[in-house]
Amino acid sequence: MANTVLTIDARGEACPIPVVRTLKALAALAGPGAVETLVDNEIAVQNLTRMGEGKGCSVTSERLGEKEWRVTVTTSVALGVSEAEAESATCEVPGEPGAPGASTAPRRVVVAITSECMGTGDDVLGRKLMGSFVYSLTQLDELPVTVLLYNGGAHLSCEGSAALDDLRGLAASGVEVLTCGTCLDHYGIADTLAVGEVTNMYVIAQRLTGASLVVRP
Amino acid sequence: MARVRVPSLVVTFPTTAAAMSCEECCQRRGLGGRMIPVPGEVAAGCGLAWKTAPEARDELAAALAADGVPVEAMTIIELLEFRCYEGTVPS
Repeated sequence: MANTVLTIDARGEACPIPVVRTLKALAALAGPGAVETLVDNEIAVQNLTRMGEGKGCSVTSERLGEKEWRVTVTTSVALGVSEAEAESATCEVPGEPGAPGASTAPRRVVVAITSECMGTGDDVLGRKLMGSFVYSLTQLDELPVTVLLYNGGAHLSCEGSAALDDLRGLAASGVEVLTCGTCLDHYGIADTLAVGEVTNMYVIAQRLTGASLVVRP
Repeated sequence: MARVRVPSLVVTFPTTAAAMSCEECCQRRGLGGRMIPVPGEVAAGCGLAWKTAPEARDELAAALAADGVPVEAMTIIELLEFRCYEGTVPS
């Protein structure tokens, strides 16, 4: 028997908002209880079910009307849900972007730079291309959420990199610039990191799996 | 930090090798500027271009001519740049 029941009216809200609000409500329970979420489409039911089951909760859903469902997520324990996890919640929407039923939520674009060079064949050209790519990011209408730099890509966020000014501009504009600490140590350039933060593989994995789109030049 | 559109001189070249020669020429002579991909407003297709301040046009043209770097076109367009709210560029 659930101790506390919270009800959320997420009708009219686009994915992943119902999932985000439900996750936050589950965290707010701080113990056994249930969250009932009202939604107006079946995709939201599926995403809430997937999220709830993924958190080890029992999930039931009931159709209340032509465009109304109630999804009940019940937990027997206090759930740990970080703010970052809730904010990075994603959902799956069938069909192409822009198609009826597609998500209108902002994309979470993550750029993963794994080398100093873009492409293979000529490293001199490859470095020019990578510099051009990072510059091109600064010209996008919508900036990426995160730029990850690992393996050879770690050189780009360090002193002497031709991409440094562009990365600094991106970081100052709110783009999260994260460089792999293991990679900085491996190349002996940890002391020369000049933009963003050092990160680890757990955060890299979280950012990659939480992205709606991963771009790897 | 804001992004603002700033008039910029964009120099295009007949070959990628010429673009790289321009970069080498400017670095050797201490001329400002940077390599960018050719903006769509300037030309279709892909390629590398040199971006610098419009007022550097004459000095750059003279340097490239002296070094024998072939130029395709010089165009002034507005490109996005990062600016602090106080009007300074990020350090």
